[in-house]
Amino acid sequence: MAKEPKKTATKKKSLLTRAATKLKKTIRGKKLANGGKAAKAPTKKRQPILPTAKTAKGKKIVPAAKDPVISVSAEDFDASQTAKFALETPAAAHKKAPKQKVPEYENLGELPEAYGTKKLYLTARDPHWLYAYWDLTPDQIGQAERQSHDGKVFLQVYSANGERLQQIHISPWTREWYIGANRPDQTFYAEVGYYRHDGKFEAVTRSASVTAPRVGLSWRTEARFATIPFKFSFRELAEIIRDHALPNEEVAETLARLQTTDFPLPFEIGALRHLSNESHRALLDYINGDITRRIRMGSDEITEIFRRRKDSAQPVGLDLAELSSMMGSSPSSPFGASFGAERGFRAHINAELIIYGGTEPNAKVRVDGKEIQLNGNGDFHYHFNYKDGKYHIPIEFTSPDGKEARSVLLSFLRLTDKVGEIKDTPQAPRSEPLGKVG
Amino acid sequence: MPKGYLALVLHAHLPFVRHPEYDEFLEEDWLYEAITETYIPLINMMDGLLHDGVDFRLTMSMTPPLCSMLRDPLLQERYLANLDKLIELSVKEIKRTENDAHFREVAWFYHHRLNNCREVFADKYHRDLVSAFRKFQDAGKLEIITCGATHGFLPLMAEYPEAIRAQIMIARDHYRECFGRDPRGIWLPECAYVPGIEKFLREAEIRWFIVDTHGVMFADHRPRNGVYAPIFTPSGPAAFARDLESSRQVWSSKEGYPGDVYYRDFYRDIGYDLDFEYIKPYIQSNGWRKFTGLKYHRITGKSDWKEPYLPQVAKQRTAEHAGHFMFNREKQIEHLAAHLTVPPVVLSPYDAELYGHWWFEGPDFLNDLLRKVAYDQDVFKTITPAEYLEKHPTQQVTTPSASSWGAEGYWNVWLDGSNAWIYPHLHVAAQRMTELARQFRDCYGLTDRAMKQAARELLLAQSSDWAFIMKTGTMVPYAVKRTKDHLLRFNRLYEQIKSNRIDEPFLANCEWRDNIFPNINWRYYI
Repeated sequence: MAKEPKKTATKKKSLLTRAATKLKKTIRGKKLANGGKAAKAPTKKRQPILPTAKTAKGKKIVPAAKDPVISVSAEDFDASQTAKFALETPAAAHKKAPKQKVPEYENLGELPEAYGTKKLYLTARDPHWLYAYWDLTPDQIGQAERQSHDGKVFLQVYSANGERLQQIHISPWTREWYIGANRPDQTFYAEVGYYRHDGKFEAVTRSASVTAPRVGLSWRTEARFATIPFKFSFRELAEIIRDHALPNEEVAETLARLQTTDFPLPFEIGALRHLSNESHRALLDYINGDITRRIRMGSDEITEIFRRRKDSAQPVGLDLAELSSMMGSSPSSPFGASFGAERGFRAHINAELIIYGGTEPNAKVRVDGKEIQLNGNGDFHYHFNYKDGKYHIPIEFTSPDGKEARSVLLSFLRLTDKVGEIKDTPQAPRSEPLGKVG
Repeated sequence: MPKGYLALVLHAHLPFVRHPEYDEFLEEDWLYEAITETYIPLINMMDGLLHDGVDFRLTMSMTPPLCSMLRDPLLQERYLANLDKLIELSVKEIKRTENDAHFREVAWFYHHRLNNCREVFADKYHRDLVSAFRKFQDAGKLEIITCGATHGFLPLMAEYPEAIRAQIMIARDHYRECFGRDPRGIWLPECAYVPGIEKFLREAEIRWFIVDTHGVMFADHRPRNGVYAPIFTPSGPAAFARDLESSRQVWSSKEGYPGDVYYRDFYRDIGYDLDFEYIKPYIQSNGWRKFTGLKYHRITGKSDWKEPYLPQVAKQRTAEHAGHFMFNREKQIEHLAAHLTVPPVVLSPYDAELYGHWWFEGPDFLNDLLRKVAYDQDVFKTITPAEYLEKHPTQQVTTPSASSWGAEGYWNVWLDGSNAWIYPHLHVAAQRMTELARQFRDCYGLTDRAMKQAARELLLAQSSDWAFIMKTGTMVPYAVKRTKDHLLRFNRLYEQIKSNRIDEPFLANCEWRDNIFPNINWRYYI
């Protein structure tokens, strides 16, 4: 969903960044917390809170006008993201009353800005994005700048074979960077350094190598099996095969290898039955749609949108209106929009996206993992409404004989930045339909 | 002979929140609410199943921070005090609602429930709920697995193998103290896996762990049985994959069972709804309102209008949903069994606190489901992953893909603009801990005490919960403060140990606050 990189290699501290932060704040509906401030009464009519019973003193119980109003339809929460901390109450509420005395050793100061260890840390935070930080003090960076021929210090990212993929000029106050590498299943390393007067790059620090996760099934389909009896500890198993393990071979690997030979083992070896190719394919079909969406779209919630569309026999499409309502920007959502007085500022941008293409009429085309129907001449044409969020839409073509394939990955990002208490403003009805056109 | 198996896994975890330095502390409510709404209902469910002789299997991870809190006398005392206040409130509520047919019933319903909690907590299990879960494990129905010592996000420690090893070995040691045997399985914190973690699991003799669907599906080599049979990692521990279809039926906010209009509404709570003077003794002492757990409305629909909650009707719905879930598993397992060469195992992992806390009727649903599965069908049985491996010890050897169960499936939730700032500090602390452990490996006395405390502070700083809270945006100041406090305490201890100038009163204060893992073995960091 809308987990967008806070900083990209090309644009830092941009509108996008602020929009992203803002968006994030709205997503989980944290207006709910509302700092315990007296929220303006929502414009919607509210029901009486509880029956007009009376307290022991005979006083009628009605909600106090100044109390924050919490009322959220449970259908709008995303349990996969918030369940653990459903145990929450308004954020500001945990502030201690001022009169409470401060315990001993309560305020230990601040953490240092940097330690100056010169560590350069690189990790692949998903198949497409790398993240780097470097622990250099502004002095250390300044020193490198002075030694360089052009006064600049760079973060450089390389593929495993030494090819430089990205070069980012960093300031003494920059400590981290998100790098859109877009090379799943590849290995990278990075350096922070500067160019010397002789034109050579002098690395102040170098990261370890990291490999981005692969997206998709492994091409290596041959399978090896092992029997690992539960009643033997790993220690015992290692002892049994100790003299027969090859260098760098792990326990299960050694067992798998030995079990294809006559090597005597003190337990029964299970039959290594292989799944037929037909069954394997049937299984993949069963799992594949789900898994592609899980990774590409990132959220169970989005998976559901597709599922429901499929169930209701509508064409595959990104119903971003539905997605958006989950992110709390719909007018009916109790998160965010229903607080605050109506103001007159009207602003809206609608965007629609058309995806179209063509191939042989009897070729197969999959959009986001789902096979689609082509027109008689092999054309297809999709029309999406486009709201806030990040989307990857893979499109795959397979030739009629199944021997050739091509694929395209379309990626889109839309972020909205709102300042102030903003309600959805009126606008003309938007064009229909969503989904397939023509 | 069943055609396949269902492995239900509940991940019971809360971060270590215990503040002896304050008389009351709001975040401790996380534990109290979870005890009342999730843990005791699950205990009651399993006691009922045992009593009725129902054959069932359930797996639960009980993390070291959760077990530590459940066994902590201060928190036990505070829970009871908290419960007694609620019981007192429930008595007032009976009086307040006596003229309203609907709400009166709900008020009595809470009154009975809360009294039952008191009986189970104080009388039946003598405040030790860990022993209750242990009883079900010893009876062979429940498998309890461990987790990282403080739920640290292991892939982001990959450059500090000693830190990963300590998270796992200290968790293993703590499990032994709680459950009197070794853990056979582990819930990797956030199901976050990178190739190589299994080596540490092997050392701890942990036989299996869980990854998200794509962790197994994208394994290299390709898994022949998809995600419906475990795979052996090269080092031996098996990886089981999460099944998406069954997860979604319960997790999903829109289509999942918890959104049913007859189920209890989470947000309408008398702590917010009732007159301030009336509710004042039961909210925070500074006058801030909070959830009391007494909620009188059902979800009803999308509008603000909420109908009264009808516990009996909700109970019928759980039975229907359990039947629906079971039917879908029967169809799923029949379909899969036709293709696989081993009986398929469908593994459905959930946050335990989803059941009861978020989804109030969740424990009733589980109860209905486990009974129905035992009596109403013979397509599949419930199983624990360990039992599956005992029955089917021949599986494919392959390496899972790096993955987590967070949004987008990788590290994004725990490494983004809101929380990435913590990692330079956590990494320096991990490196310093190993430096200390090597330098002072033979220390004793005060230095040993300081070493133990330094390890505790590092572990507590590493909880993935803090990064998660920063990302999701509620209670952020608390998560930031916890991260900084533990790191600052660690850094101070590090300086003091290095310079051989340990400030005993400061150390004692840290020990008093952060008393997790009294017998911690810091030498795992060597």
